[in-house]
Amino acid sequence: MKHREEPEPPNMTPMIDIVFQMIIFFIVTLDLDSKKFSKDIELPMAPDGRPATKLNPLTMYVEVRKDGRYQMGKTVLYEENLRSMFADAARRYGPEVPVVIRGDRELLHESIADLMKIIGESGLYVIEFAATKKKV
Amino acid sequence: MAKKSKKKRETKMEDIPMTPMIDIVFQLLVYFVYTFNIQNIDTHIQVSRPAPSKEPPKKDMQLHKIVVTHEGEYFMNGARMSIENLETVLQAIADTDDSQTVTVHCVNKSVHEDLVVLLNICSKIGLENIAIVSM
Repeated sequence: MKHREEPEPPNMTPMIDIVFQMIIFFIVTLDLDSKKFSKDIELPMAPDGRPATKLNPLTMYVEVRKDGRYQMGKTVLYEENLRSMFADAARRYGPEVPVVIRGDRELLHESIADLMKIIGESGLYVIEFAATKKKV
Repeated sequence: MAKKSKKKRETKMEDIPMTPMIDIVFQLLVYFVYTFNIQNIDTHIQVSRPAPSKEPPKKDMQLHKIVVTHEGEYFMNGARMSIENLETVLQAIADTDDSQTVTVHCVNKSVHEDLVVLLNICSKIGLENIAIVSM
């Protein structure tokens, strides 16, 4: 009699707890998009700019490091790479694909000038400069 | 027999197992430690690039030319100006018509921050048509 009682149904509560935790984890971390930028690029301050909301999902972000190197999504790119990417975007989605330039505050303008030239020559014309509105 | 098992259950209810709760709390702790990063609020300032001579410039279009030098100085229509003066002048321009075009000429060796400071002022005042020219 006692022998038959022993195989109890496994306790599901901890597993369900963990699964819910994982679900919440994945929902919350969907915002990992914001981690696609390098931490070592310090944007200039622009406290009076409009906060960057309602962004076009096609937006391309180009980071320009202090030494003038370009990178997208933490990958260093050369002019040819950028040129082909912009040209591809312009061909696929039209010339209104916004390009956001995230330049370091100490950067010299020549790198930005070269980049804007590349963007223009690739057929895109919406250029925005990223800056920090408020430091938290 | 039945009475005994009931008693056994009662004693079980008394001591709540702490292990799962501690597990969960540790998980939460680790989660918050990992995901804690301070996010600055960003802004995007839109500028327009002058199209390479596709359409002739409008006749009545008034251009205000600001030069940013490599030393961080600003020259407006040839006269050197501090950033405060520039703000007053741009404010006056915006008061008459804020659709006027301001062209910002940046020297190649100028610092990016000086340009953004100027763009910030334009954005604050409400001037929208800003063209950047590199030289």
